[in-house]
Amino acid sequence: MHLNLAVNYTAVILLAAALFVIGLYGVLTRKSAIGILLSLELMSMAIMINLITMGHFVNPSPLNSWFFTIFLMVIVASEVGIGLALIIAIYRSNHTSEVDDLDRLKG
Amino acid sequence: MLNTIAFLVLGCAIILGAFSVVTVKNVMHAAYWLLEVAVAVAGLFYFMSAEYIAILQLLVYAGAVGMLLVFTVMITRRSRIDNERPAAFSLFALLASALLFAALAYGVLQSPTFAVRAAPATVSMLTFGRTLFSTDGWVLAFEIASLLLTVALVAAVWWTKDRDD
Repeated sequence: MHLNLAVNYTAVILLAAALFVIGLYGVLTRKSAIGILLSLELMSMAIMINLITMGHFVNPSPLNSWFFTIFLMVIVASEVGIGLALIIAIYRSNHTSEVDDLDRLKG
Repeated sequence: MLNTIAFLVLGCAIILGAFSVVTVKNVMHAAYWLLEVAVAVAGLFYFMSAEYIAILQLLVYAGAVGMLLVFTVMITRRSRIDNERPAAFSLFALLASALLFAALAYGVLQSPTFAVRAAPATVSMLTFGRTLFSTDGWVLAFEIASLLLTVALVAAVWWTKDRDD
């Protein structure tokens, strides 16, 4: 099943760009560390949409984009695992997971 | 025609879901909205003939990552309502994001490389698997990825275990 080429290539890339900047907005405005991680997930999804779209429309064979996407998924999964473990560790020692309260190094 | 309608539906689901992720006050609801966005993105992958990636997306994002996030929200948040930043800062963040989107859209619409359109190709699962696991293909990257996952798993367990210090 294929999307209609001439109409949708630019549209999908623009959709990915919109998803990326929405994620950026979330990273900037969220206060809880988990909210920031959620927004980072949005940004990584935008990158995956970009990879798949370019592999589908521009590259003659989509295989390379598929592999890049799979390895990106691996990296994002590790990032989320370690990030959440860090959040839990920080919550245990500080009893908060809001990034504004983690200012112990501030002079 | 059907493809256009499907793309519009999925695009609206992705954009509106992403807006909800970043604006909803309850972090738990934001995590659920992220699941919705992940499913919609998987649908988009399916329509770009990347069915295998769509299934992986459902398994990894909507399954594993989503459950991890939901459980961490349950463990760590006493009040699940996220505090708000001052309105001036949110406005600054909105302005920065809008500027970045304008720059990206300008680049996408202007760049000559984005005008290249070859005929979309389909790949059989057999070619996919053979290329992934052949020594002149991606098997080294595959092994490094599995090593990375192992290290991440050990690190996560080490960080979250109870310590007396």
